[in-house]
Formats: sequence, C-alpha cells, structure tokens
Amino acid sequence: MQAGTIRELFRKLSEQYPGMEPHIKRGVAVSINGKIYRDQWDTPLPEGAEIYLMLRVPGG
Amino acid sequence: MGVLVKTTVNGDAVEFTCDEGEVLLDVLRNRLGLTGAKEGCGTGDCGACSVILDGRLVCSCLVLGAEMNGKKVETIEGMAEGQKLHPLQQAFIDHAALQCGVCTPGFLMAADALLRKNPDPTEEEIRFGLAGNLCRCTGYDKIVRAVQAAAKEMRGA
Amino acid sequence: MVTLNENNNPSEAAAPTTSEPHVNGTHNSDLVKRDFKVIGSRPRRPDGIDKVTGRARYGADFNFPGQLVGLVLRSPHAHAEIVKIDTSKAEKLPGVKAVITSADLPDHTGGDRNMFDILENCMARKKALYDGHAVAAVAAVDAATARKALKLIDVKYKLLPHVTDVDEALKPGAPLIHDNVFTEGVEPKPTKPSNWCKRAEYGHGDVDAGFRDADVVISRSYKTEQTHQGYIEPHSVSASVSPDGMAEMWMCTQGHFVFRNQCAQLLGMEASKLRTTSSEIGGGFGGKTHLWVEPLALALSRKANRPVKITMTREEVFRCTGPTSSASMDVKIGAKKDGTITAAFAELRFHGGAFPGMWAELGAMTAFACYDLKNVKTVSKDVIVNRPKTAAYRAPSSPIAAFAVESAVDELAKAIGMDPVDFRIKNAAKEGTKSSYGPVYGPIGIGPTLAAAKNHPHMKAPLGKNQGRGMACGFWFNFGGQTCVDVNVTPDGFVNVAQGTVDVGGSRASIAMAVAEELGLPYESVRSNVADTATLGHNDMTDGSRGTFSSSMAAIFATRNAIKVLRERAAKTWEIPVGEVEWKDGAAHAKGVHHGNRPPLTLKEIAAQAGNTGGPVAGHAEITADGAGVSFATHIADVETDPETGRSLVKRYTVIQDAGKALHPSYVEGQFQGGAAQGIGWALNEEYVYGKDGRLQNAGFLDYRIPVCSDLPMIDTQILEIPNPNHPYGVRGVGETSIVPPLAALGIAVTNATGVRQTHVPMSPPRVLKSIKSKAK
Repeated sequence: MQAGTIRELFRKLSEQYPGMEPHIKRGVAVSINGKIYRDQWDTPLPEGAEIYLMLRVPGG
Repeated sequence: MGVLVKTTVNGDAVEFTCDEGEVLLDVLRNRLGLTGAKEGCGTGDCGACSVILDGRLVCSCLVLGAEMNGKKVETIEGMAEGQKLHPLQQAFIDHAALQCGVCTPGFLMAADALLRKNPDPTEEEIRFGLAGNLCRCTGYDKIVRAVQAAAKEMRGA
Repeated sequence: MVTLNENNNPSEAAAPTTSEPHVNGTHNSDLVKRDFKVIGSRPRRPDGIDKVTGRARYGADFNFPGQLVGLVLRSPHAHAEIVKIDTSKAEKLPGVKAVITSADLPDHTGGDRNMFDILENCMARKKALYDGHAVAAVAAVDAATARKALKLIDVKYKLLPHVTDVDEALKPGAPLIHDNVFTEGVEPKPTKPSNWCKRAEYGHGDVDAGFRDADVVISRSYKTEQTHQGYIEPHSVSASVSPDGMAEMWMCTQGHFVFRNQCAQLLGMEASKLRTTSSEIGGGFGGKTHLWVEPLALALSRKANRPVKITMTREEVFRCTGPTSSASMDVKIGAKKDGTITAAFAELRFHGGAFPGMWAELGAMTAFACYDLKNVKTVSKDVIVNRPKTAAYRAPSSPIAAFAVESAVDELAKAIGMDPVDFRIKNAAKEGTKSSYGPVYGPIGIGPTLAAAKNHPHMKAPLGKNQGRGMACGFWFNFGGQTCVDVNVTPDGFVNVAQGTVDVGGSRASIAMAVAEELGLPYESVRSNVADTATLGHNDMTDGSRGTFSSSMAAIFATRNAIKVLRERAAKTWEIPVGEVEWKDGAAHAKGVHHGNRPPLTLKEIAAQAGNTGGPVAGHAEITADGAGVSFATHIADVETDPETGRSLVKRYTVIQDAGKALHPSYVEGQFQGGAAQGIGWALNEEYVYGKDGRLQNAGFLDYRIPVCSDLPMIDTQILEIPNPNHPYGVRGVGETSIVPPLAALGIAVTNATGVRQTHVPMSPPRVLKSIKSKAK
C-alpha cells in the first residue's frame, strides 16, 4: 500500500479493510520510524519508512 | 440551637455559632472563610487540616468547634507577619518543597509546631515530626530540606 | 542620521510577509544546543505565595452563591441488579431540591462504548457493578438534609454473585459482569460473553527457537495488588446550570477542556455553553483524568435550577475512583552464558475494574521495552471484575509489567553469574533496536541511564546486615497532544501567558521561563495562568507527561509569533522594513548599515505605543505536539528487611532519568522524587483489600497507608539531558517514568536482603515474613 500521509494511510486502510475503520475512529497511534504520532494526520510518511499502527495509550 | 463560641483565631477575637457536632475544620472553612486548612480525609490521618490549638498541633477535623471557647487557634492564614513570610513559608518556596500544594498549609503548621519545641532538629526528628502529614507529590525530600534551611535561619545560624 | 531605505514602503514592510509564515508546529531543532539564560535556572513559582499562605483555591475552596450540597448514594454490594429505586420519600423531605438516578441521565453517547462506560460508571443503570457504584444522588440545602435524604432513598437490589480477583474472573463459570462483552482479539470470535474483554499480542522473532538456543531459562509467576493514586485532595466540583442552557463548572481536574467536552456530551449540552474553570489541583497522577461526580453535579443543578457542589469524602475516593489494575503475570526469559538474551515471553492478566480496559495490553507493550531482543512475545488478557473502574496512574501498567520483567532479568543475570547492571547494559535497547511493541527506536536514553547507574557511588557503597540492593529500569511512552497558548503583552510592558494545561507540578513557572527565554526578558516579567474553557481553545489533559512538554512548545511558538508582531511594530515606528529589525534581549534592534545606530526599542516602549502601531500585541499558537519521544529511567534502591517482622525500610534511593532538557531542574527533580516515593509505597505497603463479600476493607488513609516522611530517606536524583529533537528546547516529558522502576528495584533489593525471590507486590511485612518462613521449611 502506498500512502504519503497518515490521513491517506487511514483512508486507504479503511477502504481496503473495512474492519479497520472502527478501530481508526476509536483512536490509533502511528509510529513512523520509531516516533509515535497520535493526532497530526498530515504528518508525511517518508519513502520506505517503517510504519506501525499502535494502541492509542492513555497516560497518568 | 447552635452553640455560641468566643475564641481567638490568629490573634483576632472571633465569635461564631456552630452546631454541637461541627468540627473546627468546618467552622474555619465554612463559617470563618479560612479555607487554608484542607480536608484530605476527615479522620485525622492526613494532616492537611493541621492547626495549632493553644500551642499544640491538632487535626482540626478531629476537634469540635464548640470546644474552642477561650482557646487560641493558629492557622496558616496567620503565619506570615503582614507582608513578611515566615521563614518556613519562604523556605518552602525557595526549596521547591511543594508541587500541588494542598498539603502545604498542614506541613507548615506541623513544621512550625516542631521548631517551636525543637529549634535544631536532626533529619530523623524532622521526619518523625512531620510523619502525621501526608504528601503525595514530593517524596518529602525537598520538604525536609526546606525545614532544615528554615530552622537554621531561625536559629540565626 | 540614518536614511530610510526608499525601496521599501514602510506600510508594506509592516504587513505580514509570506517569507515568515505563522509559526505553528514547526521548530528549529538546532536551538537545542543554544546557551540558555532563563531555562535551567530555578526561579520561584508564581503560585508559591498563595500556596504557603492558604490563599490558593482548590476544588473544595470555591462556592457559588446559593449553592446546594450534593451527595451520592452508593451501592454497598459488589454486584447486584437494581430492581427498583424509590426516591419519593427523599423528594418530599423539606430542603431537598433534586434527586437523580440514571433515569435523569439518558444515553446521549450515540453508540460510543467508551463514553457509555463513563456514563454507566458515573451512575449505575441496570446493575451495581462494584462496592461504591453510584445509584442515586441528591441536592439539598445543607449536608445534614442531604444525608437524611440519602437514607430515605429505597433501593431494591437483587444480589448477584461477584468476582474481584483477576484470575478467578477468567475461569469458566465465573460470575458474568457484562452480557455484551465478547473477547476481542481471538479467532474465531467468541459466541458467548465473558469477563475476558480483550486479548492482544506483541513481539517479533521466534521465541520457541530462542528458548532452545538459551543456556539458562528462568520462568516464574508474579502478582501485584491494586493501588490508588492517593492524591491528598478529594474530588470536588461546583456546577451551575441556568434554564437557558448556559452553565459553569469549577472543579479539580487534570483536564478541564476534556471534562467540559465529555460532560457536555453526557448531559446533551453544547460545549461552548459550559464554561469550566480548573481550580488548583491537589494531586491527580491520572486519577483526575476521569469523570466521576462531575456529570452528577450538572444533572442535579439542572434539575434543581440551583448551583450544586459535590465534594467526595476520602472513603468515596478510595471506593469509587481511579485505582490501578491488580495483576497476575507469567514471565519466561532465556539467555546464553555470555549474557545475550535469546528469548523473552510474558503473559499479563490485568483487570480494568468493572469495565473493559486496555491495561494488560499496555503492560504487554511496555514489558520488554527496555531491551534489544531478537525473539520476544507478550500476550495480554484484559479482564473485568467487580471493582471500581480502573484509571490511569502515572505511566499506567508499566510499573506492574516492569516488576515482573525486571525481577526475571535480575534472576537470570544471577543464574548465569553476571552482574545485573552489566547484563542489562549488554541487552539494553539502543538506536535501531526493534522495540518489543513494534517500532524501531531512534536515539534513546536507556543506555546512558545504565551507564550512569554503573558509575554511581551508590552502586559501590557498602551494605549492612539484613540489607539488600536492587536496581531496575523503566520505560514509558510519553505523548503530546492538542495544545494552545496565548501570549499577551500588557500595555505596561509585561507579559501574560494563558495556558490550557492544568499545572500539577510547577508548569506555570516552566512555561513562563520558556516565554521569558524567547523574549529575552527576566522570568519575573512573565506570568502564566491556566485559562478557563471559555477563553482559550481546546487543550488535551495534563497526562502522559505532556503538560510541560507540549505547553512549553506551544508557548515558544506563540512567543515567536508575538516577536514577529513586535518587530513589525518597531519597523512601523522606525519606518523601516521589518526585515531589518531583529529581536534580542527583550528589545527590537535595527540592523544593517542604514539603521544600526538606532537605540533599541524595548518591549516596554513598543507596548506603550501599541495603540498607535496597530493595537494590542499578542502571539498565539495552536499545535498538536506530536513526537514526545519515549522515556527511560534506572533506579537504585537499598533496603533493610527485618527478618523477625518482615518489615522493609528504604535506606537509600537514587533516580537516574533522561529529561531531554530540564526547564526548571527543581521541578524535574520533584517529579523524579515524587514518582519514586509512590512506587516505594506500591512496592512495600499499598494495596486494596477486598473481603469475601466483595467490599473494600481499607477505604481510608489509616488502613491504606501511603509513605510518610519517616518511611523514606532523601531521594537522590541525577538528571540526564539527551535533547529531544522534537521539542525546540529538547524537552522530554518527565512526569511518569519515575514510578516505573521502584516496584522491581525494591523487589530485587528485598530479595537480596532476605535471600528469597520476591514475586508479590506489595511486599508488606506479613507477605515477606511468609516468604522467609516458607524458604526456611
């Protein structure tokens, strides 16, 4: 799957895997090359970047 | 059917009427507008409501307002002299001995009571002297250091 | 005499230029290495005098004119069907102005399970799910009347079997708490509901192969008990709802914007009409990130058409608000004789109280995060029990998982005859390590904290009789989130900052320092206040170690925007192009050959003329502060355990943690020390004790004993500063990680003091004594 930003990634994931959509709506975090992003959906995904979808963790 | 009480709070003559079962903490907070003493537990376990009563440190949640006739109550609001902070108050600010600060009035009362009796306490004596007051933010380290610094200053050392 | 550059029209010069966009979410990371003037110093906090004189106003210190007293009726049963609630007698009592039940809180959550759980936790609907679950509430003219009214509410319960233990709740035939919870994350999808709400799995590689490669494999089970954040200030909220739908709330919270949004949703109100002010907060540590009584105060006020104040008792705080999970874990780790870990596995079973949670999953993510592992697998089981809804507590779940994993790491190091520090250094995660929760790490600070521990004098100090030393590492994610800050220059030339994150540990000072640093002003010229929800945009809560990290970032960007305005005003005053004005040391300076000899225009001078140069001077920033950067710590603990009583005393304690950049070192130390002290309490003493009847047995500070001053030594701190490239000054969140290592560090220390491996926290005297005696047999 090709995606340039977190938003595009989420959109494509929701299209190809409709089961993902509720999870994305409920809130997921994205790790891009080890850095965790939670909210900034226009964050670019660099070419060949390692992307992980993660639980959106709560904090104290 | 309230009880009329004449007492002294922070050097001022004060008159109030309270219910027979009403604790001093509620009198201070709800009738006299002195909200510096805090209710952390209402059972005498946390020390956040500490005041000095006739020279003795007490939890104001454990004594009755009706018993205050003719007594002398000292609260955090009376600790500074006008514009000038008490050395303990100044030391708590200077040594970052407070974070959320809700336990601070109680700690200052307890530390004041301790230093009146023992102007040159050891670290252990400070730790046991303040053991009736709970703080959840600081781990007590900076509080102990602030009391040590204030004690030193008050001794003129 | 300086001539004007005639190529530039002054009015053009003063207009915003496209070459300098509004600073929003970007920064210049090479600033991290700059020489700071204010940052790193230790000025006095702006709220200091109010807090030492009793003037500071906390949740319960506020009163609305004509307010009523609100009290909550709570279930005495751990699990019961609510057959009927008759409030008629209470309603008839003179002085009672409103009585509410769940019928007064219709479901506006629109299928949002998390919000519905919050709603149901605030007020039981069909069933009471734990001892202390709210079932009704009253508002009356005074506390005595309200108490009488509670007694007049007749609740008919049908008792149901209950379960409060995490392992028991998983067993077949355990009492079922929710009939609509089906285990997520298992295939095929279960057809029957159960208390097991979620399974998750993390890791990589082949752990079976890894264990076959190991020379030594250690396998053991661990338990930790439920604890409470134990903030000294009980929750208090005052709410006033008008018939036109306008409303106000004053309360202690870690996030008044989030509370406003959630309360508005639950009550079917408009967020813009609900103005919320956060009081001084008397501690939170995660426990004030959740709604408990706030919606009830609003509902009571709406029904009574009077302001209502609800202040919890300490007993209510323990019985009904935010404890942690209790947990049961199995850990298995294998290593080569040379000290290389070949495989690591853990199964973690945590409960979320009476509602679905993700606490075990958090444990599964954090458990092995400190290590560089080829083969690692963690499995989490999140479980529902009849206990209060679990809330975040400072790096939630991570201390629990670290207790099990670090204890196992220590045991394994000993089994292969390696020094536990060297063993950890050999296996520590580093830049490029694939973390156990998935991503590959960038530059991280675990190695430096271990190196500092190895070289710390504490590690070499001699130990006395019955004493033992333990060291352990800890990890937490940290996060940033939505944040905005306003910087306003006052007409007399000082600066007011409006921040939206609640100040829990000195952030008003730290944020004022950042603004002063940017402007080149003394700290004393800047004052930061926490703004209410009607005067600033949305801000996420002060949680996830984000308060100072994200608000200082927003404050720096807001200040840079204000500086841009200040330069424009100076340019207008001088009638020169703004490009020829620079800002340094609190003043505008004209630069270049044409203007270099103009005396600088100070902030004060520009502020005084603001009305004639375009109006008030301000800067704003609205950001999503992503990129907080993960956090690591290493702790060293010495304990002395009395073999006769099993009581352990901490003799010496050292915290080593990466702060990125310490804005105000005293407050960073304060976070390190406070987190360590909470961890020490958890390790040695604190636990929820439930009776067979499912009722909490120790809902007070006498029986739930948190550390007091005489229980602790001084807590030494060492701040490491490895700049976080995602913050303009290199700041990293510091609030939470300090609670992660203590359970394990003390578990290992008591193990070394007694010669018996400690596997159950808290290591209270009876539990330790039992472990000593069982070994003697």
